[in-house]
Amino acid sequence: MKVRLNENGFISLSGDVDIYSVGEFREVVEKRISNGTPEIILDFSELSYMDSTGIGVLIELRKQTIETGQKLIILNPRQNIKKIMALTGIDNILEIIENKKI
Amino acid sequence: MDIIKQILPGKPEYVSLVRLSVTSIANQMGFSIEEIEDFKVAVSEACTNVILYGLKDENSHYEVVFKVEESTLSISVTDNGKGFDPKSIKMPDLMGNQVGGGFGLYIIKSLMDHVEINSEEGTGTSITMVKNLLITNEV
Repeated sequence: MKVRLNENGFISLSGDVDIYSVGEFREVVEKRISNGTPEIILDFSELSYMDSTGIGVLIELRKQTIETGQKLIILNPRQNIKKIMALTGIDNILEIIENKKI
Repeated sequence: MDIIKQILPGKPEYVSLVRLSVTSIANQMGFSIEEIEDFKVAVSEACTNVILYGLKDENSHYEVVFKVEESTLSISVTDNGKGFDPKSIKMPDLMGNQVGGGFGLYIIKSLMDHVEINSEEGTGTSITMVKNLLITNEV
């Protein structure tokens, strides 16, 4: 997994989020949460793979942002990742925005 | 039937290797891109469960066996850990109150055509995941 912090505040992820990289994924986003940014935007357009390890962390991160009053937004997830989000039901509780160009 | 075996250290960094293997095998058999994605997730979930819950100690290994038939790919992931009762696994709570576990098996069952879990306390767990190739008229 690769992480790019964009000037516009987006966190762009590419590669795979799995049991190996999920710790780094959590760390990067938690850092952004603790900065107090009102909207944490995770750009998934280049993310090619995510499994339940990433889903578990997204659930935790959502809980944290609700407690702090911040917003967690997922941008442009690919079809295979949308499928896993739908299977687990987290597409119902997360804000997902599609077709938005940076 | 062709059989391919991989023995892997119970370490997170090697799960991607199993994804590469299943991608190559399933692609060669003619599975679609979406089906290959399903395989990648299913095998990763099984390997992740082994690493999180199925290892005797940190030096333990586990085995992945791919059985390739004309129109069926079957993958078994076997560990020698402490085993579990598959009925005891519940779906996690989306509110984040009981994070971890649960999703993996649910996802595997949703993505594969057939799933069999054999687990015995003290001897380990084996999960077999099967998906059939839909025969089309494509040449």
